[in-house]
This record gives sequence, structure tokens and C-alpha cells, in this order.
Amino acid sequence: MALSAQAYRELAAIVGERYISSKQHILAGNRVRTPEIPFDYHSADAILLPGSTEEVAAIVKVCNKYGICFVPFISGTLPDAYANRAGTVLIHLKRMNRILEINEEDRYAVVEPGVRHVQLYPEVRKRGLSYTAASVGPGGSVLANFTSTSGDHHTQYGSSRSNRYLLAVEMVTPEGEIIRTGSLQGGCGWFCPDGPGPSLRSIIKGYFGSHGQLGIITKAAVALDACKGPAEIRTEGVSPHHRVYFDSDLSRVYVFNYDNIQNVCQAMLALGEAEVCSTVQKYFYLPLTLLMSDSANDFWKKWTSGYKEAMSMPLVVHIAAQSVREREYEEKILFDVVRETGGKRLPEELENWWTEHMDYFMVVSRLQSVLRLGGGWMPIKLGADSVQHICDVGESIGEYIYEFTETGKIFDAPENYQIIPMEYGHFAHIELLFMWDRTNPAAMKGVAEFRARSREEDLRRHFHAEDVGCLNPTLLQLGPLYSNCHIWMQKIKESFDPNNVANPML
Amino acid sequence: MANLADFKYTMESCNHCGQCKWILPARMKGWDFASVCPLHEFHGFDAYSGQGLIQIAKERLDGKLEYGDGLETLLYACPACGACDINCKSVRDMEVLDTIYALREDCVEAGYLPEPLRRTAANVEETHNIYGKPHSERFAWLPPDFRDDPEADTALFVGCSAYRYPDIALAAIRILRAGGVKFKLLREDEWCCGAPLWRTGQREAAEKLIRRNVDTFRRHGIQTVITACAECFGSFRGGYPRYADTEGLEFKHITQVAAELLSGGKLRLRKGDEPLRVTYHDPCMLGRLSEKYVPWDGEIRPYGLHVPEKVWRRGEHGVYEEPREILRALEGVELCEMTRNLEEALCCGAAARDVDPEFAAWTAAERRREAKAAGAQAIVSCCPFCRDALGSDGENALPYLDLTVLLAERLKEEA
Amino acid sequence: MLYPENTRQLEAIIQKARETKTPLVAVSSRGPHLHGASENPNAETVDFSRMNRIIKIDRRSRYVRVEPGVTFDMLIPEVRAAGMRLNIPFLPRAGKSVVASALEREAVLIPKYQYDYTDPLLTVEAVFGTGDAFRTGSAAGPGTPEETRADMVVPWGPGCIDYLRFFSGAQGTMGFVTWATLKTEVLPALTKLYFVQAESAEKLTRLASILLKRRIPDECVILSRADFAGAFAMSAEEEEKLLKALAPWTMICRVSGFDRYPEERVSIYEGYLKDECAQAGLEAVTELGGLPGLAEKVESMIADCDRRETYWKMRRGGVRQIDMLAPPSRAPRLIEILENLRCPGDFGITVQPQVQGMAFRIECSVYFSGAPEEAGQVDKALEDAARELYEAGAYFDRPYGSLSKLAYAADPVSTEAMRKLKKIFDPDNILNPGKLCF
Repeated sequence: MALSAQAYRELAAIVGERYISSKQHILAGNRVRTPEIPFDYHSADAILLPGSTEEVAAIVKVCNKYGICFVPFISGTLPDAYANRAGTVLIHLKRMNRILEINEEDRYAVVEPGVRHVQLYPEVRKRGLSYTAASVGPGGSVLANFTSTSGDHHTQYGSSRSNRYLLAVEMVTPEGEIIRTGSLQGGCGWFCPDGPGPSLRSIIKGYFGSHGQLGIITKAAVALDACKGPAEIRTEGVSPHHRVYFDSDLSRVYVFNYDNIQNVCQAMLALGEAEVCSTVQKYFYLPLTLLMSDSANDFWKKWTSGYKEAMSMPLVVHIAAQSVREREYEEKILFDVVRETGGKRLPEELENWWTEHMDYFMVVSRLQSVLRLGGGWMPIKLGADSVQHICDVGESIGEYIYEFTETGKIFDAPENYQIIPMEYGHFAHIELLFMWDRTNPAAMKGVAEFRARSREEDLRRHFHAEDVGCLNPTLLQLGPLYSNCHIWMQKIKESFDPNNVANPML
Repeated sequence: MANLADFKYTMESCNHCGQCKWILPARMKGWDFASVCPLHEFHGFDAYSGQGLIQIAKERLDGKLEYGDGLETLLYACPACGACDINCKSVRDMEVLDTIYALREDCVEAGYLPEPLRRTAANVEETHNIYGKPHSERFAWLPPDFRDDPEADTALFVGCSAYRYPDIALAAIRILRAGGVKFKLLREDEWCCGAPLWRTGQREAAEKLIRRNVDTFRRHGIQTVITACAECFGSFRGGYPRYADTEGLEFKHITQVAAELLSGGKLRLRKGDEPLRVTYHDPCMLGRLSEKYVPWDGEIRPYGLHVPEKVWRRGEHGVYEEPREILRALEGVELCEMTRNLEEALCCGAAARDVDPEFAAWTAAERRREAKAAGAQAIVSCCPFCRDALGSDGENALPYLDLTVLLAERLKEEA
Repeated sequence: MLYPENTRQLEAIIQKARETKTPLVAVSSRGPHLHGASENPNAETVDFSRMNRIIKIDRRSRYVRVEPGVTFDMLIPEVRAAGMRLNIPFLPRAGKSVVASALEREAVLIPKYQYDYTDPLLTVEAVFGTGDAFRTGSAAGPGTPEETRADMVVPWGPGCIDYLRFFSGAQGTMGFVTWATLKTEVLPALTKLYFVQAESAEKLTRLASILLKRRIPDECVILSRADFAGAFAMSAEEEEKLLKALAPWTMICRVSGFDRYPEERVSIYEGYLKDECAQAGLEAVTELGGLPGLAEKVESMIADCDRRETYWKMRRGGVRQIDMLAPPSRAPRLIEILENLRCPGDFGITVQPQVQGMAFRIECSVYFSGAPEEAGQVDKALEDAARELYEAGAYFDRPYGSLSKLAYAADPVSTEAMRKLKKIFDPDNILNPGKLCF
């Protein structure tokens, strides 16, 4: 369904002619097929660039009036942020890019959707503060990360997942009303996500966000932690060989290799109980080699000459202390725990890479180099529960992945999963990242098979290895096994979006 | 030489990570000055970005998209500054800028080269310079007493900009003379370097001109070509090998030569009259886009393996340090850096001025705003086109100083 | 009174109530009930006292799962015996339901363990007003709680809805909880208690904010002279002595060491504490005058519930409370307003940093005889104060009684959205009707 001339005129009257387009070459810029998505997206009928909450609300009202579907969009890294049916407009929020407030005393920042990690992170760090920038890379929208994605981050061991740090928000509902949550709803500013009474925050984000299905979030406050580390970062060299240092006696990075995930689990729990270290993470070995490589060719050299074995199960630890004495105390415990659990320190030349790339611990810089093998790439599972349960999930992968890796259906890296504990070992998150040869058209079949098998194996074992997502086909499949949550989600969707125009995926 | 099909791998590899639009984290400083793509920053739609353009290229390759509705304007509004390209290549093995060049060739073949660029091409064809001025006046600024070193195997290539900015050419001559470098000028044999042709996708015309220029260098026995124009320099190194065999030819920017002379104690400098706080603007074609292009004609195997191994241009080996060394050598001159510097420098926007003047003016003003925010009293660079853009009147006006001229003015008078 | 013993029975009760349009209100604590959330004259009471099983205490993954009838006096010793501790409120009632306390977002004593206002509540099983049972977060599935191999500890989801936040602060209007999982922490191997006294609360809130930002102390609470004396005195005489001996405001905070090198950790962290105090012009001391052995008594009491026959807040016979949340920048002004409260009886103020010091829960308790005429005057005084506090930025995030009008007045559109949600989960409005904005 093409946008009617009348609807286009009304939308253009809201944002101005400069900020709306239905030209084919403009639409092409967001009519994209990514290597991991095996189908072409629908084309949006128009793309709009609103400049304020009020404009977003007015656009949404016009969409309801004409039955036009809308999808909010910022950086485009989420596959759900594209038109999925005819008769859709993209509401591109990049012009709404102000940092509205950084409150040092009350430790929060208020941002609009277009603010990127690479913009907010240095601003808060200057003020001695920090936040868990989720693993999306520097161009990711801070607001989308906190409200819409799983939002897990490499450093969340000593802090937590983005859910914990999302405070009050302002949202345009699917019908175009502007609502506010938490203390903002109570007329008391941005500091608190909850109340009055039960929380409207409940419909902003569960395990994941709703990806626009329940409205468009136009402002959000995120909580800020103390920054353990220097405010000034030393950068040397020129891309792609930047080196980024924390010039500080208070910071140390250690990487250990393990041969058994249960030992890793024990180490994570023991460190958590002692409340030491800032980052503790069982990282993927394939991306790790990619991070250290200059090109795909360089990767192949490294992968086949010992990196795979040397870092088969790497435990990355960052100590960020408040005094040298504290650092030494934490190191003492770390080395005790590693000794008790059978970890082996990586050779110096490999471990040094981390010390020279501290940006990894800030905005997850260089993350995209994991796509260097051509981009056939998919993270699955993505669930969270206790450290022990998640390590059990990780351990089970070896029971079914080899028939896919050994037959070449997916890349031969069977241990390529990461486990990141949170809140000093109270919970952990798992991500199984697999890659495939996207230049082989038949590969997608193997990809689908592996995804299905992974899910089937987890369900058979009654593992909480994944969550159900927003209102999409996965939810309908898993919902009956997850407290019938699909029914409640549908009821909420119907109640808030009676015309089913807000990013409808079903 | 390129066609769209050569870049299918790039087109199909993009995961929309946004790295082509935003400053690399190693250089992040804050909210402001975080965008590296002026085109995207100004126009807003993703089509106006490296990511958008490679998607457009894919749709052109697939026969799904036509010119004629503004696509050609978008394509040539892009200053092809390469920030998207080197940012992408900081983490990926993709050729974003070369895909844009290929798309331009496609546009030219389809007959949609924008009119202002046709005019420039016609000027180059007819008068051998971009301005359409008589070829006979190319060296009109040269002092009558100038004498070439007839035996020299080094040429100073002054470029078309000498019509507009003879002070730069004169300054280059003064520096070379002061440093004792033996060189000659190509006089009537010097034609446009070809940048306005190859950078706009005019393959046939570019190839003809570039081959002719390389032949001229060889005919004159030249082994080293020095230029004070960043655009010429970037073309020699990053463009010429696409069209001609440049084996045995060395290309140098005047700042490289001057820095070498300075470190060897061959240039004696006097103190400036007033202390001056300046910032240095890295021209795209001197910085990130000046690495040597090494042709690659191979196969991309599964999981990105390039056979034979490819030499990548990732922007690491641009001319960044030498201009700064010169500035540091000028007593009384204090260098302050902008946030977007070195390989992350924001383009001045000059390349867009004929096709999208509003955008070009905004880009220059944005760059001057950044220079002012860094605390600079003047902006220094060494590219005549950056001088056009940044030195023009307009928003955030700031004195512009050409580095070659600045250095020449500080040379102590020869005995 | 209805006494369900399990989830199936509760589902049946709610389904029957839907059919007969009978309002229900849940009670899970033993009295006295201080806030009135569980009092609803128009509703039948569902009493959870028989659902009082401690379902699981898990030392390895550090959590407990309990039914709503489990009270602090039952649970605290059991958790301690397992080598752990609960993050409890300041001297809670012995008969207070642990689950209800967490659902009500009562302030807890160890803010550094709080990453969110809902902490330490992790997951719940609940029955909605539709009569359907539901489990939140990683307790949702796959399969039943008996089938799943998960520890059911992750609070978020399932899917894109944070169901836990429907129940948190809802005063039983969205659903009745049948069990909850709560975070527990390792019992320290060594602790050291400190007192910091000040003439003004502001000095201590500023200090607490800095200390918590650096996550230095475990327990941290700021008490006015009246609340300190009332909490720790065992008699009117002792209270009198303490009132004379104490500064207007006292912060109690404790640093801990765990199993590995406990002395070293305590030494490092007490160093930080002293440094920050010195920078603030304050002093951290280990002893307080007024009563012999006071420090030891405080240290043992704050790790437990109030096991006295008469709950310390009821020592005059009656108590009325008002509490609010405030960010650090706003807390001093609100405390100042409360310090100038005029009403019968006396009052104390307890200020508790929450969520790693990003907010303070400020609670003012008016202690009076309990006589109805006095109660009316106290209520009126607190209502007047509430308006002034609201104007000064107080956030009544868990509004009891008449406070709800104030709390929901600011944003009618958002309040309407909350009613939409209520209608989905309690379509017949049978769960505690008339409370909050429902």
C-alpha cells in the first residue's frame, strides 16, 4: 500500500518537507538486507525525521488515522527496526539527539534517542562517572540500548545489565499519547523508574524491549555509576592500530585460559563472593582472535597457528581499584581463585593486547571486527539465570554442536560462547555466537537447522537458555512454555495499539 | 577501474553497524564533533552515508534503482572524503569508498553526471585545468628569473590551483630552493592531475589523462614528483595506480619534503612576529586517502579469505605527522588539536560545492566551529581546495593559513 | 477470611470471586499493619499465613524462595544458618512478611547490593485478577517450576514486559503473589561498625551519597536522634538517656570482609570511610556514649528484625508514617521540611540511601498515644506536610491512603495508561479496589 498523497501531505506538514522523503533512492538506504537476514525487507513508503516528541506524537496520530504502520528507527542494528510489511513508514529518530541533562550529584543522564554511546560515554567519564554501554559498538543509540535490546555488556560483572539502569522515560504510545514513567509520572524528575504504585516501566522493557510495538520512547534517563579508572584516556597510533591505555596503577587486566566451563563457573562464583574485580567474563575465542587480527587473512593465520588452542576458554578479568592496596588485595584473591580452579594465564604477548585496548572495557570498541569473516553471523540463546545454570547451558552445547561444525554447516568453533556474570555473580548471561559462510547460498539452511536444534536441545533439558522476545513468531512458539506470556503480551498490545500500527510483526 | 559487480562482497557484507558515520572510540571526546560523515550529519537520511550508498549500489547492481530523481545529486554531494571507508576498514574488510567510486562510474555510464561536473571535465579536456583558463597562463605567476635544474629527476607539480593560489607554488619553490633540493617544473607539459575525473567516475577521460601524465613524467626523466596540493598528491598515490603503471615513480607532498629538510637541519627559520595558536586540518587526500593503491585482482573465498592476499588501504599510513612537525618547528606557533583529527578529520566539504553548495558551506562552517572550539586563532592546512572551503567567508569565519606559505614566510633570508 | 494453602487454591478463590464479583484483599504479615494497604472494608481478606514454606535456600547461587506467609523472624535465622544474609529493612517487624516487604519496595539496609528499586526481589509466582497463575523473569519457563532446571533468579521478562513491576508497589491490586525469590548475600567473616554524627542531616546524606557511589559500606542508615533512641532503647529510661547523649543525626554504617583475607578488606574499606568522613569534616567512630555496650547492641540488632514484644515504632501506642523517595540533591530540603513538622506526639526521621546511593527513602514516623482524636490531628498534619513536600519534589512512589491522589495528579494521561494495564490483569476490578488509582 503506497502512502496516499493526503497522508504524505499531513506527515510533511508535521516535520517539514526537508525531513520526509518517499524517493526510492532515499528509501533504499534503509531497505537493506543484512548478511544474517535471509530475506529482503519490505520497503518503507516514506522515511520521516522528526525533531521532537510532539512531532513523533503527531506522526503517530496521522498513522492511526490512515492505518499506516510505523517503525521507530535509530541506528538500524536491530533486525526488527525495519519495515516488515507494506504500508509502513520509518520514523527515524536521529535528529532527536540531545543530551538533556547529566546530573552528577544524582547520577543520571537524560538522553534523546539519537544520542550515541560514542557521544554520551566520554561526557559522563569526564565527570568521573560511567555506565554499562551495551555490547553494540560506538554508534549504537544509548536510549535504544537501554530500552530495546538485551543490553548486555562486557563489564556488567561488577555492575549489572542495562535493565537495572533504565530510570524514568517518556514515551509516545501507539495511539499518539505522551506518557511518562516512574518519578517523571509523579512529577518529580527522572531519578526513579518505579511507581507511583505499580510501574508503567513494566511495558517499556522486559528482558528485551518491545522494538516499538508498544510505542516510541522519546526520552530516557539512565543511571550512572562511579567510573573506576582515569577520566583521561591515552590513545596512541592511528586506526586501525590505535592503542588505548589506562595509565593507572589502579587498573590491571589478566586473561586466563581454562579447559572446563565448570571450573570457570567456580572461579566466577568465588570472585563474586569476595566482591573483587570489575570485569569477569568468559569470552568467545573466535571474536577474540578476530579482535586481534588485522584482516580476515590475518585471522586465518592466527587461528590456525595456535590462537584457537591458546585461548580456547578465556576468562577475562579487569581489576579497577580505588587504591593500589585494594588492587593488590584483589589480585591476591584473583590468583588464589585461579590457582584453585585450574586457570592458566595467557602468554604475555596475548594478554598485553587487552592492556593496550582498554576501549574494549568502555564502549565495546572494535566489536564489529567479529563480522570480519564476511558477516554471516548470529548470536543465539541470549538468556540469563544463575551463573551455575548458565554454565550448565554452556556445557551442554558440546553435546550437539559438533555435527554442525564438523560438517561445515557453521564455522568450526564449537566453544564460541560467552558468559558474562552480573552483580558479582548473582546472575549470568549467555550468548552463543556462530558464523557461517554467507557466500554459500545453501548455508542459510544449516543456520536455520542449527538455531532450531539449539532451541530444541535447551527445551528438552528445561534450560532457561533464551527469553521469548517481543511479539513475534518466537514468542508464539515459546510463550506456551513460558507461563503463557504470549497471551498477556497480545492483550497488552491490543489494549495499547488497537489499530495494530506500531511495528506489527504478527 | 571498477565496476559495481567487483564490490558485491562489500555490498553484501554490511551489517549496518554505523561505524561509517561515527568517530572511532579511541578518539571520542564528547557529544559534539562525534560524526565523521558530514553528508549524513547534514542531510539526515541514511541514504546519505557510506552504508546507504553501498546499499544503493547494490540496488543499482540488481537493476532495482534508476537515476533521474535526485540520486545523482546525492551521489555527487558526497565529498568522497573516505571517512566512512577507513572507519569501516578499522574493523572490516570492505571497500566502501571504492564502491562509491564504482557507483559514480555507473552513474556516468548511465549519462547522469551532474552538469557542473561535466563543465569541469570539459575544462580539463579543453584547457588542461579545472578552471577553463588558458593553458598558456598556467605558469604566468612564475618569476622571470626562475631557473630549473635541468638535470634534476625531481619535478615540482604545481597543479591547477596555481592559477588561483600562486602563493602556494611560490612558497613551495622557496622551500625547495632553501633546502637545496634540485628540481624542475614541467611548464607547458604539466596538465591537470586528473582528480576531478577519476574521483567522479569518468573512467575513460581519467585513464587517458593519467596515462598521459605518467608518460610525461617518464619522458622528462622524473623519478620523484613533489606537489603542494593534497588533491594532486592523493591522486598520484591513491588514484594513478588504478589506471597506469607508476612503478619507479615516487610521489611526495611538500610537507614531507620540508619535514625531512627541517629534521636534517637544512632549513633555517626565523621567529614569528606574534604568538599564534593554530589548529591543523588534515586534508582527506593528504591524510587518510593518500596511501598507495595496490591493484588487487583475486578471489574472495569463504570467510573473507582474500587470495592472493590483498594490500589494504586503511588510512594508517597517511601524511599526518609531517605537517605537525613543521608547525611544532615554528617558534611562537602553538598547535592545538581538533577532536576529529588525523584519520578521523572531518572533510572541509569543498568537493560538494558545485553539486550541493548549501551542504558544502555547512560542512566548512562546521569544521571552523570545531577549530574555534579547540581554541584556535587560525586554521592551518595544505590543500588549495580546503583553503577554498575553510578560508571562505561565512559562518564561524576564521583566518586560514596555508602551511606551505606559512613555512616559506618563516624561512630566514638566504645569504 | 480465606486461607489458601497453595497456588491452585488461590486460583480457585480468585476465579470464584470473579464470578461473584467479590472484592479481595491480601494479607500476609502479622499485625500491626502500619500502612493500611491490606485493609479494605469492602473486600474479603485472603490470608496467606498458611502459605509459609521456605521453599529453597540456595547458598551457591545466593537466593531464597519463600511463600508470602514467611516472616522475618522465621527466615533470618534460617538464612544465617546457611552462611548468608538477607538484605532487610531497618529493624523490621518480626511478623512482617518478607515477600510483602520486598513487594512494597521497603527500604533495605545494604544499598550497595541494590541495583534497582525492586531489589532484593527477583522473581515471583502470582495469580492475576483473571485467576491465571503466572511466573516472572527466568521463573517463567520453560515448563513448570518443577520441570525447569533454572534457578529462576533473573528478574526481567519474560519477553518485552517487566511483569515483576506490575506486582511491585501494587498493594495487591494486580495479582496475589504465591512465592517469591529473593537475593541473599554471603555472611561476612568480619565486620566493623561505625557511627558518624552530625548536626544536620544534609552533611550525612552528602556523605552517604559519596560512600555509596564508591560502594564502601554495607549497611548504611541515617537516623534522627528520636529514631535512633527509639530504635535501640529497651526502655523509656534508656530512650531518655540516648536522647540526651546523641547528636541530632547519626549515620550507622558497617564495612565487611568476606572469607578471603577479611581483615585486609575491612582495613582498606575503613580507610576509605575515614578519608571520606575527614573530607566532609566528620568523624567515624566505633563507640557512642549514652548507654553501655551500645555499639555491640546496634550491630546485633541491625542484622535482625525487631523481636521485642512491642514493635519499636508502636512504643507510644500509635504511629503514623509518611515516606517518600528523593534523589540526593533534593533530600536535604525534604528532611528540613519534616524537621519542622508540627503535630501531636513526637516524631522521628529515618533516611535510608537506596540503590547504591542514587536515592534516599525518607520516612517520618509520628509516635503518639494512638487515641482516635490525636490520630485525626496527626493525619491532618501529615496531609498538610505531604503537600509541602510534594511541592519541594518529594516522590510518593508507594502512595498509601490519601497520598495516592497527590501521586497520580501530575500526569493523568499516564495514570489512564496504568488503568488500561489494571483492566487487562484484573478485568473485574476485584483485587483491592479503591487503592492507588484504581
